[in-house]
Amino acid sequence: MKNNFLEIKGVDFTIGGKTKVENASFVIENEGETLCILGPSGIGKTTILRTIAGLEKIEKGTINLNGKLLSSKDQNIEPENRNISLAFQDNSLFPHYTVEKNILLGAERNKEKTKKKLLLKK
Amino acid sequence: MFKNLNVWLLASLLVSIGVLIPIFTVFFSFFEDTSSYYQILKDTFLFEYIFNSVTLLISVLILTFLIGVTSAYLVSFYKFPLSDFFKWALILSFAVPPYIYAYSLTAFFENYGTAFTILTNLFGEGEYNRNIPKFDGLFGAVLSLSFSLYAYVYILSRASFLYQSQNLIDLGRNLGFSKFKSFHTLILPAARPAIVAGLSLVAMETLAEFGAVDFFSINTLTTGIYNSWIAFDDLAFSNRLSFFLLIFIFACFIIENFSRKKAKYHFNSRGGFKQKEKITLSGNRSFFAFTFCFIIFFLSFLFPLSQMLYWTIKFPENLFDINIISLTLNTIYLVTLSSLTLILLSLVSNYGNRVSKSKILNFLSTISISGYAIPGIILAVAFITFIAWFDENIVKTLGFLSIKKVFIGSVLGLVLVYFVRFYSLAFNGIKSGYEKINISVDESSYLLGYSKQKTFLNIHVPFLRNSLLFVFILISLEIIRELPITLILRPFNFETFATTAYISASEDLLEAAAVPSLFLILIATVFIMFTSKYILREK
Repeated sequence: MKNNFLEIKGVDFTIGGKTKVENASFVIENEGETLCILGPSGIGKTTILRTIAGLEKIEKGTINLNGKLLSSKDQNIEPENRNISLAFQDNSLFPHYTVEKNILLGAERNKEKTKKKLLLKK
Repeated sequence: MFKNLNVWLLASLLVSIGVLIPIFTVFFSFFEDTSSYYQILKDTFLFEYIFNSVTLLISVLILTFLIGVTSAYLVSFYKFPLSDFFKWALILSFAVPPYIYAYSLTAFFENYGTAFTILTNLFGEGEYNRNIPKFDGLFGAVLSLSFSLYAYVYILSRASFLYQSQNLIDLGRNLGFSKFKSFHTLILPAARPAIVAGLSLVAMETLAEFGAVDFFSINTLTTGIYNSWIAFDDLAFSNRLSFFLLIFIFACFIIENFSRKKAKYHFNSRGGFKQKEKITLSGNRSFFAFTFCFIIFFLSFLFPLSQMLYWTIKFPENLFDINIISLTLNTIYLVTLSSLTLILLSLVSNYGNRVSKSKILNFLSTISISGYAIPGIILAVAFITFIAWFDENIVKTLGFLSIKKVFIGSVLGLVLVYFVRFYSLAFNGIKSGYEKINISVDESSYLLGYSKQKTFLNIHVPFLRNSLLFVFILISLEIIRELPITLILRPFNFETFATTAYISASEDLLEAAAVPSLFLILIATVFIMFTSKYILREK
């Protein structure tokens, strides 16, 4: 059976002790598909994104990516190990680095991963 | 909480608990039995201790308020000859600890002192001694403390005046207020939190002061603590006096908090703020502003510096009586070891607070920074009390060798107590740097694949570089000037400039105290010059 690319099942999305979205379930079937979440301000759109990225934890439900469990009550993969990116609403540049260094910070991880992949292939 | 237990949280908890141990020791020691000395003192000198401490406190607060606020007002609102120079020159008084000021005051005004020599050189031999005023006793202590500590009030008031909007001044003009009325009805009340914060620091330093009051032989709670331990060997009573002093300090905080009620003092930074234009003074007003600032600069810095320089030149043999290289190395050794330990653990603690978001840790961190409010002498006594208790009840019970020698009279013990005393400087200094890093910067870093450790090392530490340097210099400055902790806990034959100056002065060899005092002032001046750009920043 083919796994959905992203699967959210019965999750309570919570931030700062407040539950924003209760018992939510939805899926993105294939990689590359676009999903649009709409709603008034404060409804919990950002909380959903932050939770999927791993910046918030969940107490109920599961979040899976490519069949791999990312978040549940008992398991939580740290954001740095999820390979999920998020564009923040507010300024989150590294102020003490140059523009070039800011751009390269993300590339450095990919460089390391590419290196690892190449080493494994060899 | 335990679900989120990680190495950062654990390390931060350990640091905060470690800092809190001596503070709690003072409170618990209050209930221990003391010798009969307590009863004797209660019936005789205790009232004098408290009376002198209160008199000293009130007098120093009034004088530092007048000097600090007036000089800050003049350099913030007006342009006059050398006003830009005075802006930073007025913080140089930090380089002169109160005890060195006390030595200078005595040296200048004593019988056949420097004032006598000047008068003799100017007008020939005469009976000048009876006409030269004597600044000793309580009055001498008030002057020494005020001229050494007013910079706290000056710096904070100046920062507050600087951020006051031109709108506030325009409002006063619009209402037809004179400059004086604008000052005391609008400008001064708006700067109240900063002034009170400065005065609180002065109050803490005054109550904690040991060197100057001991030199002038004034019985205060602080000298009482030292004497009950050194002269009467009564550690429990020393702790009991410390408890009184702590209550006193906390009462100051509570009164300040209550008096403020729910008043808000901040300005809306969006749209409402208009950069202030300095008024150029001329004529008599310009002369008055210049003279006032010059007198304060002269009395607080040039006077003690030149007195110590004069004696060093007059009695050059004292230069060879002390081992300057050894004193410098000892000072550098203590400064480096303590500053690095403080910075490293404060960084860990700050980062732990940031990533764990634990309420318990936050609470412990908040109370652990109260170490700065506790006089060094109390911390030293509390540290000895705790080590003695731990050695007797835990180490010996478990059958290990005594650990007293490892901690008492050793550099390790000294560094640990410095750590407790100056932890708030390091913690708050780094915290203010951290507040400039938006939390989403951390989150970006995680999403780019950086672990917590990597975020800390690759993102935070480079960002905090300037704050860390500032904290390093600030702590170094404090340690160079520190006296009671070093005096009580230093290893045998281990001296610093501060202890050498104190020992010479307490043996009535003021001339000999001049050399270490001069070196101390010069080193501290260099450190202040390095930090002045941070202390006086205008953006």
